[in-house]
Amino acid sequence: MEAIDEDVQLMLAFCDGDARAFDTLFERWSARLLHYLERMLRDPGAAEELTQEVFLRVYRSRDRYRAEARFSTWLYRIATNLALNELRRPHRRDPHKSVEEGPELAARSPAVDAVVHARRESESVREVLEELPEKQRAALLLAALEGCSYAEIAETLEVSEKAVKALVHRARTGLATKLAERKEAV
Amino acid sequence: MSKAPPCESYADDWSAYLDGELSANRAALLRAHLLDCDVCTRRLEALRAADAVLRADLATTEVPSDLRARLQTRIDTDSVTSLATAREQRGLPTRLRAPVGAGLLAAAAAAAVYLAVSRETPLTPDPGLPEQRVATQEDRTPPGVPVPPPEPSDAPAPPEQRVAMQTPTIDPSASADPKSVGAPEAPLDAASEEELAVALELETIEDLDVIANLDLLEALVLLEEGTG
Repeated sequence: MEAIDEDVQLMLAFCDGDARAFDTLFERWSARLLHYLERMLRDPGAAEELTQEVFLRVYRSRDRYRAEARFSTWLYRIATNLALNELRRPHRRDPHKSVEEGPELAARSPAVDAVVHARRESESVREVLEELPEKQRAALLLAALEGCSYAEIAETLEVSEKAVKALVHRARTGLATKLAERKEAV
Repeated sequence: MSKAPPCESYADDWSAYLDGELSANRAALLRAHLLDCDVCTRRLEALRAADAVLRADLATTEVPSDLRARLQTRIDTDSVTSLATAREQRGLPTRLRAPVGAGLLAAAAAAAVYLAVSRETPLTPDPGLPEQRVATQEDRTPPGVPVPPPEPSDAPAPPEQRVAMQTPTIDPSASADPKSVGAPEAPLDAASEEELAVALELETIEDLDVIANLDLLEALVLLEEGTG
């Protein structure tokens, strides 16, 4: 039998009234969730709001939580559902279109050039990600960045593992192709 | 002599290969194919490069320092909302189903009206919870009547003292008499004062648990000043 993961143990401790366990879970997962949601939404403000919402739902669930899956699978499922709902909102605010270069970057030096280059590359990745269909994007981020198994992603996205394999493959191939096209265009 | 499978038969598997999601046999086949196929080797490298770019972007996210505090605010607000909803679902009386703040103010207003007619000493603001007050025999004894010596501290309180610790019931008709409001010459007796104090305390302790920023005593003082 697979050992209960550490996060599940923390959650069970929180369910038993250990408030510090909730703080620990927040410390362990907030950055990753925020990063995931930022890449999904390309809107830092909305990502912060949804990160709070995910943990609020974790907090609310303390009376009825059942350790039936890995904690991360459950957490990403909440986050993904919230992100997909946000993306389908009819009057969703426009995310910023580019990373502004601050005045401190006006005076160029090799180090500054490197920062500018990194920012542009980062922005380029996010733009390409945004062009991917939502479920492809979620599947790729969960597989490539979060290290989730296809079985976990299938549970998160509520699709079959075969569908996850196709989603991840199309997303990764699409990302690679578009990044290569942009590189050639520069 | 058997012909090697075309590259396209592997095309859909490279991503799963990177993610370690293929069976051992299938992964071995792909590895063998890579040894003889530059096209597929380049395909795989392009996918690896895309992953590397994604991971490089990972380091750019920083959690705002106040995110945990903002979450706590939402949790606290959520608790207040949940409490109000739970009360509504339990079908508690209208006064309790009203918003918590309104309930507190109503209780404070009742206290202020009572204090205006019965207290001779001013309230001392205290940031803590209202102190539970148990009436002494001296409180109940009219002026000029000798007060009996106090009983040993470990002795049980007489019945008339213990009554203040019980859940009170306040007769609504007691405040219906207009003469009883604003009539200093006819204050409520000590037992009524105890009942009101305990009633207010029982009413507000639960609310104070969920509204950390609402200072009941401050509200009492302000209302007392307004009616005084």
